[in-house]
Amino acid sequence: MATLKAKLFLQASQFAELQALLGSSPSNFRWFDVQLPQAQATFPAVTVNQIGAPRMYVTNGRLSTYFARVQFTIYGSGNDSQNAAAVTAALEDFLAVFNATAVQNAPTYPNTIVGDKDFGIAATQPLTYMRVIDAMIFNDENA
Amino acid sequence: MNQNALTYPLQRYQSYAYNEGLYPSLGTLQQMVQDQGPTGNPTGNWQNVAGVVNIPCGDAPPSVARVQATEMKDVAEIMAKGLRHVLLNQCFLDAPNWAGQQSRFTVDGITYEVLGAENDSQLTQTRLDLQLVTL
Repeated sequence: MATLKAKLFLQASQFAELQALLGSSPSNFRWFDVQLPQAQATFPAVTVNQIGAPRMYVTNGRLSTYFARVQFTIYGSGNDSQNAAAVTAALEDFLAVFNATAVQNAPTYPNTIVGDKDFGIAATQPLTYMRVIDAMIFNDENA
Repeated sequence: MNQNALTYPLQRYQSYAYNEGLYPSLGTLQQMVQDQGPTGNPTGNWQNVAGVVNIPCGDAPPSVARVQATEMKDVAEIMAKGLRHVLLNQCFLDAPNWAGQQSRFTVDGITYEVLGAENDSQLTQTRLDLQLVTL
């Protein structure tokens, strides 16, 4: 059984809209776990952090399904925020079809963006335009 | 003491240093073009500043005493700063206005931000404190 972030990486790397922005080669898909590797020559890139995963309990134990809150940090390219916005749009489309459960072929999945904030790194020249997306993602740890 | 008397020999040393090849690099000052892009952003277009193009200069680290350790490791990303101390072969009286977001300096094809610029007391040279930040 794959972890939520492994499911995210696998399905995101196969999603054409994200491939067009982040790279299509599996070894060169700029989608990283927690930390942006140093000297990434090309932006945009995305890092993924889990920032919450409250579990549900019933009388006989813990449910395998839960909503995890995941933060996507998007590092955009260029001299304005539009590239990061394009990655955000692709991520929204991806989350609508991302499936971390055993239920196959549903028309959509209950993954909801609950936070969407502009951000940036001022030390670089020019400013690194960024976007920070928080999403509630429905996961089944047994799937 | 009449300090004007010091100026002439210092200027002689300046040309001596140049002739001895102590300014092997070439530097160009650029200023940001004041226009805005589609989201209100600075467009990031730059133009050379007339009179400050391909100036012979010495491109050195800020300290000879120790290696600059400027890499900062964070959970989110790792940031490295490249710092340079550049000495120009001539004095530019408006150099103190060069520092800031609106100026950058290219040395041998590498572009840096200008963190500081100042002239020496005899107005023979301008020196720059430059920075390049990479993620």
